[in-house]
Amino acid sequence: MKICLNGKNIQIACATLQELWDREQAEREIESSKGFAIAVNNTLVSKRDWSTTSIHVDDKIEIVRAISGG
Amino acid sequence: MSDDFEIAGVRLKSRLLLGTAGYPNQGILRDAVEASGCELVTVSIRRVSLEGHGANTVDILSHYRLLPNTAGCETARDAILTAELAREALDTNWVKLEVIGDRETLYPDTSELLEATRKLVDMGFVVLPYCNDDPVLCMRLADAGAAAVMPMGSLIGSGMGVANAANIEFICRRSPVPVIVDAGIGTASDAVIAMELGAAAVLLNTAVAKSDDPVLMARAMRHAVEAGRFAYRAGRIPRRGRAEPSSPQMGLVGS
Repeated sequence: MKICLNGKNIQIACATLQELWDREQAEREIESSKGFAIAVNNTLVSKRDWSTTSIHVDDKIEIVRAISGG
Repeated sequence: MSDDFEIAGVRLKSRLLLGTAGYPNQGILRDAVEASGCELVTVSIRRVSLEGHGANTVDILSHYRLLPNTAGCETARDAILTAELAREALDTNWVKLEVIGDRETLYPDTSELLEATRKLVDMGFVVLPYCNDDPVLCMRLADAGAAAVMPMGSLIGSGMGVANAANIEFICRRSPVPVIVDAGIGTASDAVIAMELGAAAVLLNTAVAKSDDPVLMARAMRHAVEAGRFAYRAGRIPRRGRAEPSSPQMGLVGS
């Protein structure tokens, strides 16, 4: 299905946010979800809800992390 | 005598807050933060695709209190979502609120800033808004529930120091919440001036990160903030338009 992830249109086979996170975690060699957060269609989804949050076609998903800032 | 200050019930010994962006490398960042003596450091929230922009800052500064910002946001809506993401990611309800109204000056959009402050306070956030050096706006932000106000010394990253000392002094004198002078600090003397005007603290980043020796400049800023605070508490002498001899005028040789 097509979604927009961090501003880029991509095709994914993930059914839930947790599956999408697991994919990103493996791809980017991220150790844990500490310091990360996800929003779907401009709404925060708490980590405890990732596994029960379904992804739908054309969802706009943002996966963010804390980095250096002023 | 303790001279700690307090934000939202949290006591801080250091009156210097340090940004974490733009350092030559993460080792220098870590050493500079340590040399500064600060307890509170700012971070930003960005898409995971931005690798190489201090992605491991949270790990190397894990023993400091992190203050996430909403830098780059141009609407109250985006700033609120960013604050929510930061709370989820970092497990803190503190936020340095920035809502930018102009890309060239990075001046805050004051109406969006006020709206975002009100909403975030209602949502349980400890809000520290970056704002203009405008006494009325600072009062409105405090009325809206801001835990501190952060008027600009001068434009972000400009190194122009405290551009409107009279306004900063007035804001400090009138504010019911701590005043943290944020942005524009270029060197140690600028931080001294901000503190002498009565600021509770100073937040700076570029002056340290982009100096030739960030660790040394961080140390200079630590002492500058302390010196400015001591001078403020001690009370400066009045300015005079004429000389006032400090040595006794009687008993001069040859008189």
